[in-house]
Amino acid sequence: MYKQYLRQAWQLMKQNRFFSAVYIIGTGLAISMVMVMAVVYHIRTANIAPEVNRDRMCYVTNVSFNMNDDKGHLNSCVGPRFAKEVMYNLKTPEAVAVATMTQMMPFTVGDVFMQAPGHDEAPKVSLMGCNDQFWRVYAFTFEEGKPFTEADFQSGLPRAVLTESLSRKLFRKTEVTGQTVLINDVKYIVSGVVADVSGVASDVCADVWIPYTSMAVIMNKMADEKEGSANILVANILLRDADDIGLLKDELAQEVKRYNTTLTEGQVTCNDPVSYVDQMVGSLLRMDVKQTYMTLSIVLLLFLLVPALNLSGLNTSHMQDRIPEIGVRKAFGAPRGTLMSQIFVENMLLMLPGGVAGLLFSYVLVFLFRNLLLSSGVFAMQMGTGGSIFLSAGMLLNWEVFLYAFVVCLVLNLLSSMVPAWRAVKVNITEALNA
Amino acid sequence: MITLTNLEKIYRTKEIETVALENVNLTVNKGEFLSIMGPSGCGKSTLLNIIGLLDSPTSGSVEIAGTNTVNMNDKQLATFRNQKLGFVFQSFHLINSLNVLDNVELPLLYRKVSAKERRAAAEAVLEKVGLSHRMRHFPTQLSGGQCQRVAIARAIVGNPAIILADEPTGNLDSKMGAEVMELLHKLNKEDGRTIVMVTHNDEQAKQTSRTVRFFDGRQVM
Repeated sequence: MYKQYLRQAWQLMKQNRFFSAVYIIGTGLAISMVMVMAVVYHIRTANIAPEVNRDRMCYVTNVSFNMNDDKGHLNSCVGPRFAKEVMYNLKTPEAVAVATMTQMMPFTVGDVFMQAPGHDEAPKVSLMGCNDQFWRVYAFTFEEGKPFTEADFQSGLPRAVLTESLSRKLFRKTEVTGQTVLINDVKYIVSGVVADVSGVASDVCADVWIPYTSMAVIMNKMADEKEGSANILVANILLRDADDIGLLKDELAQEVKRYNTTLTEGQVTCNDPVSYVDQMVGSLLRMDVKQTYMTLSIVLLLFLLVPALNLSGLNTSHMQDRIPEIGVRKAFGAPRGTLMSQIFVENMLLMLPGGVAGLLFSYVLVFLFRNLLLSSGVFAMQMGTGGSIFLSAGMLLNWEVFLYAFVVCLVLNLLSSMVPAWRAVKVNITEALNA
Repeated sequence: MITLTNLEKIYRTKEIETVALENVNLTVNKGEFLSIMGPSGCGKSTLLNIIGLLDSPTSGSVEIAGTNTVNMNDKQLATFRNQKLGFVFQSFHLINSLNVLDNVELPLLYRKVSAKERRAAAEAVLEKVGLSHRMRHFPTQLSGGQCQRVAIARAIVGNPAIILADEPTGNLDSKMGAEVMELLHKLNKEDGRTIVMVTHNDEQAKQTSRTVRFFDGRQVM
């Protein structure tokens, strides 16, 4: 039956070329707008290298140090002492990556310049301090060498991992393991070179990664209760299972309580761990995640409703031409539901090429506006800390994005074809035959 | 086979009321070839539509093959039409975006019949109406007579007991009209199908088993 519907739809497409072309273009344009949002959502939330565990990630980013006797408080990120005595003690996670918060770096470290001894070029770079677990949590592609080790991290040895393009800029090659580089005039030894990281991976994006234990600006605060507790680090926690977040929350609360018993100058509070998607989606509209999803769904529906109304007009006039056919089908025993499903299937055939066109157009739009759509925020764009945004085929061409496109086509089809179809199949048979 | 009792059809608008059929009592026997005649607007087609369950009467009953159809819902009517009735229309009503074979398969599409069986049945009836060589053609590529033969093939593919033909030769020249009439007679005599035909043509009516005439919505003889 469906084979015949599709054959007829194909024949109708050939017979009504102008209608089909307008319909496909209209669908394509309508779908592309929504697909831009879907593609951006996918790139932001799916497991994309090196952030291959986004579905199991959660974050502790805010730590407040409240001084005794209400003498003041410090709201900041995780401090090195807090990381060492609280975050590294957690048993629930599979691993805890602690890294400097990119947005805070310009204020605490200032501009960072790198130079290879004997070379003139000293480009400004984006630096990230991190621990050894960082390399376990995130899947970097090492072109050369390897990450710094736990021993390197514990000892605060000056080791650096560079991106491929930085390595080429500094040395004009990537085989630079063991070579010395100067980071703001401090000597570091290159331990490895990784493939460039797109700015869409905002947790990890940088040009160079070093053990944060080698950064005086952080480690000098270790002994200080206040700035040792609240500083510029973030804890990126890899859970064994996404559902462990409740367990982690309880364990973290216990650890913070224990940590507070070691403090004399004040007490620490920190935010509950927030999952990757919750953080990403929740920060979008500064709403509860459920509310955000609800709001986004309404916006998407409105995005679709306007073109759906236009397509519905086209469908209505097209259905008017087919009313005698509907009369014949009803005369020979077609129930209304069967006719509705036929019209739905036929429209879907028109909708799908539109969907493909819309998806391709949305790729073009995402590519052209990638800095606007995929940057870590206006602040990151202004400060240049977001890294360069480049897109890989894997980010765009994957079954999840195709599924989004198909669902959008399905919804658009439902919105645009069902009312005209219902009106057409409701027409009395004798009237339909004489139409 | 078909029994109409006290049948009445009134079309009502806000201003006027038009009586299309009034007190029609008619029985069509199994295997009969009945022709309905009368001037334009006398209610012939309305009657045929009511017999074909395409329209409902204002009052009275329509009994077909022992089943009173008046209280059936849309879905039951659709199933009944699909299984018991075949239609041949004056303007053929073939679907131009389907080829001949797909057009003929149409009634079987709404039964639980496999694609293979549908195809075989459609090919068999097209053979019967002498159009097996036109199966892949589209209606726009056929002559009027061929189109009506396709329409007849479509009407009989589901093996209905009753065929309702509304001026089946009205859009055909005399030669093609004669061919179509010959085919209908063949279906009546050889297959024993009951045929009810609306016609303006006296000659064609004379060839049928019985003729009823209508005038202003009433059966006059």
